[in-house]
Amino acid sequence: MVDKTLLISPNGLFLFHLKQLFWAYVFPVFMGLFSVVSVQVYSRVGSVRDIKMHTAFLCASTAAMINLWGWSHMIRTPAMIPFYGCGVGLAAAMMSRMFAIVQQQRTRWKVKVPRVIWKGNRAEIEAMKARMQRAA
Amino acid sequence: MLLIALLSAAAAIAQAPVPRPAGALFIDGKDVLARAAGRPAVLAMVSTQCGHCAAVARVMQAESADFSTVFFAAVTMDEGADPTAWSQKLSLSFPVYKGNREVAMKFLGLTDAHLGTPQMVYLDRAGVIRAQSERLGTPMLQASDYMRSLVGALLKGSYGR
Repeated sequence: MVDKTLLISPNGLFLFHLKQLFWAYVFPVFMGLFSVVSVQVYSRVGSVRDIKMHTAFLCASTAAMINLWGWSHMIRTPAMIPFYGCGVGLAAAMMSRMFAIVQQQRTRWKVKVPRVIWKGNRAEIEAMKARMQRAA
Repeated sequence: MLLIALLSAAAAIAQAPVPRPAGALFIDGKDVLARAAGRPAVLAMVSTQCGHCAAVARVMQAESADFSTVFFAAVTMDEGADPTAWSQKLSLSFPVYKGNREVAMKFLGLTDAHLGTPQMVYLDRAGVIRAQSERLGTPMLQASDYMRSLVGALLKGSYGR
């Protein structure tokens, strides 16, 4: 309860609600999304043929630590549960539409950039299969 | 009978209105608010076992460094609390008093009801309560951004209609 006659600068209220919005609604969605994506990524990294043991260990342990940190910050009120669920659902839906992640080398900068090949992109999938056959 | 019971229950948890002149806050026979001496004051009624109370104490500590003309204080409400140890643990430079639930309830204008901690009270220079937590707590009054705005307004003493 705040005295309504008191002339308070709106900045404080705006910042408070902005932070509340992030931590109460955006952060749980992000954590749900991150949980699913990180689990899928490190399980796939672990199954790569020539993966180094310490790379697999670092990937999995970092993802697990970030997840646990997120959950410890997130479990404040049951109101956050549906938002977390939305994040998990969104990530699962996104991953279900994904065919592969390839590393494409940029000729100009000589850096490898990860690129997603979606299931709907038939031409790209066929090209990728042809590349894999040639490599085999 | 049911109606009477419901009305009496509602009356029991009803809060005193804001703004209102603050009553004295006697701890060990001394009025804590006398130390404010014409300055705006930020009071936190805390429990030393509560994590949110520790968080708000840290916010108050940070704000007290910026607002030296404002009186910041905390009053413990839990049984067996050690305000000195709590203050040392959190490195607080503002005073922490050993109170109790009855003293806090009386000051907050509440009768027998479940109380969320921390309970924040903001007073102007004249000792009028201008903002107070709701019975189960008001996170807005514990946030540093809003505390800063509210304290700024109390220092300016600007009021509309």
